[in-house]
Amino acid sequence: MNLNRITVFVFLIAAVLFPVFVRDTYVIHMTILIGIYTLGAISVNLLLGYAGQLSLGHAAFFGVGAYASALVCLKLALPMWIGMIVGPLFAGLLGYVVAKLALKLRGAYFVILTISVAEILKLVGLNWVTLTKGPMGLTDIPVAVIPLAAVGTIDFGQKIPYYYLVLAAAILCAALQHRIVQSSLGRSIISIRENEDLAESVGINGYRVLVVIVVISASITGFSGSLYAHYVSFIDPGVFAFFFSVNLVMMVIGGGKGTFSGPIVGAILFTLIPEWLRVCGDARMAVYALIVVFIVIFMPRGILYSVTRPLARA
Amino acid sequence: MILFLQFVINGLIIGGAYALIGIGLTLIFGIMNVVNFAHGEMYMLGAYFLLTFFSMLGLNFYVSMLFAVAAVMLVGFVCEKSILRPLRGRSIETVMLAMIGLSLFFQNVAMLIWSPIPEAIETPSAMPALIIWGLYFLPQRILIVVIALMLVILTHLLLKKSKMGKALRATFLDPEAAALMGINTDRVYAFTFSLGAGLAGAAGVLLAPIFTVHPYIGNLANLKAFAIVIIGGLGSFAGAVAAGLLLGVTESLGAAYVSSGYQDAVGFVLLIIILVFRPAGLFGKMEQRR
Repeated sequence: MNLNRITVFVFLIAAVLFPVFVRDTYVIHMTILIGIYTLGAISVNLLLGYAGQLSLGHAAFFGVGAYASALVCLKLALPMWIGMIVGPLFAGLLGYVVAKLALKLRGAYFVILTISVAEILKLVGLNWVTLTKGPMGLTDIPVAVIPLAAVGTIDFGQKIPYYYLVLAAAILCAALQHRIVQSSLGRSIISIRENEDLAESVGINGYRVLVVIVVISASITGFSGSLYAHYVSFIDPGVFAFFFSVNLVMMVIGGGKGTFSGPIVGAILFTLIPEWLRVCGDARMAVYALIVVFIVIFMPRGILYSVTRPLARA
Repeated sequence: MILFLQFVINGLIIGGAYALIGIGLTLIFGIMNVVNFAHGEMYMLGAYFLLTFFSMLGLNFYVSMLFAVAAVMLVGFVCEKSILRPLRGRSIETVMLAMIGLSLFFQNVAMLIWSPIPEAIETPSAMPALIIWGLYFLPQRILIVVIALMLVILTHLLLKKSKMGKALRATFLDPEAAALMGINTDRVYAFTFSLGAGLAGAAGVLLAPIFTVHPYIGNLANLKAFAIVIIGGLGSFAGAVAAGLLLGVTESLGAAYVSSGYQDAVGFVLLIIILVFRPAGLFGKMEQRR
């Protein structure tokens, strides 16, 4: 076993045992959010880190996943699990449409098109009142309760069962990311990131490969939205916020884009930093913004790289 | 019919201010290759500086307008020197994210300085509305169009006739060749960014008296500016003016005849249609030169 495998193994054990040692509800709550955002960060990492395409509209997929999942449960009275299949499905579908339209373009055009899609969906969420209840949002989104014959029930409305659900989802998606990157699809997107013309010259259909990766990325973010909706049990059109898309990208860049652990480290950092900054009072978001600018300018390869590189050299 | 014309006129008035934001953004993109996500914040700062000079310090309205625009240009200048210069040569995405950080910074600083409560600026001109052929013209709104048009023409002349304008156009075509010919491109970039910021600030100054001012007005202004610039063709001056007016009118008509809730979606829908069918924009000739 090499060092990387050991790190992953230790991290996994720590994550599984975490609720056994930490009983603080607030800490568990933050950890669940980190898990949910990890999914989003992984999906952005696939697209930005490996395929080299920046999307600032991932809130669209997150929001569609959240709304689809919530509406399936609220309007059709189906269980949470169906919602968690329908959410990613709708997000993936939207991803397909967006990819078909947007991937004819690159760079700034692609970025702005993804933003526009999220903004339009936000307006739809605000104005399609009969479906979404507009700015009032959807409340009382149900969670699953699994009855166990003798022991009682597993109630996903409780923090700890939900923690394990999110952990399982995060492990699944991290493994998926790993598998994709190791596959021929992964090699194709990396070659497109490095040099699209060259990749095409050896027979890679850049457009088609990127459509596939956008659909996968959108579905993962949709899944993340779905997990979020059932966890907080309330969503409003704020789930389509531009700031959320930016945050996902910052997680990936801050953690280290195009690496396995980058999105995980980024999700942990960028969920906790705003919490730590509560000490700054009203100036909190201004300080946060400065940190964002600082990281972009001075740590373009991520915090993990900036911290471990000097150590490796020493 | 009268009502329809009235909506068109209202749209053109707002469109004049949109055009100002648009040319600022398109200049910055065309010359510096920077997608300026903090552009909407320059608009917001323009509005707040007007509020400060006019409503708080009690200066003359027109003097306040001038001061506000000058202050925004100064902010733009400082941003260029401090953030954009160290990032020159980095990928367009990196610069984009730094500008997003900057925009978030300005929003929150504005919230700290001026509080998040929306404020209105009482206009000085208490002149009654002019009524011509049954159409209403409010003096405040006529002022917007007149000043916006003047600024568009002035900027155009600046680019075409002045020495600095010539340097700007040369840098637009080929930064390296321009530098070789002895053009100080650092100065060109600083000037471009201040000018672009000033134009967005001017739009904020003009629209502030008819809308309310709050720290987050820049968000929508920013997205609309992107829509304008892309509809007009990235880097195209005439395109930004035409698209600004087009967006103003379509929004006004959309709000009147379709749904006011979706008024702000008009720009995005237009933008997506343009990107899908004519990515170079309506006036996208400049794009081929890049």
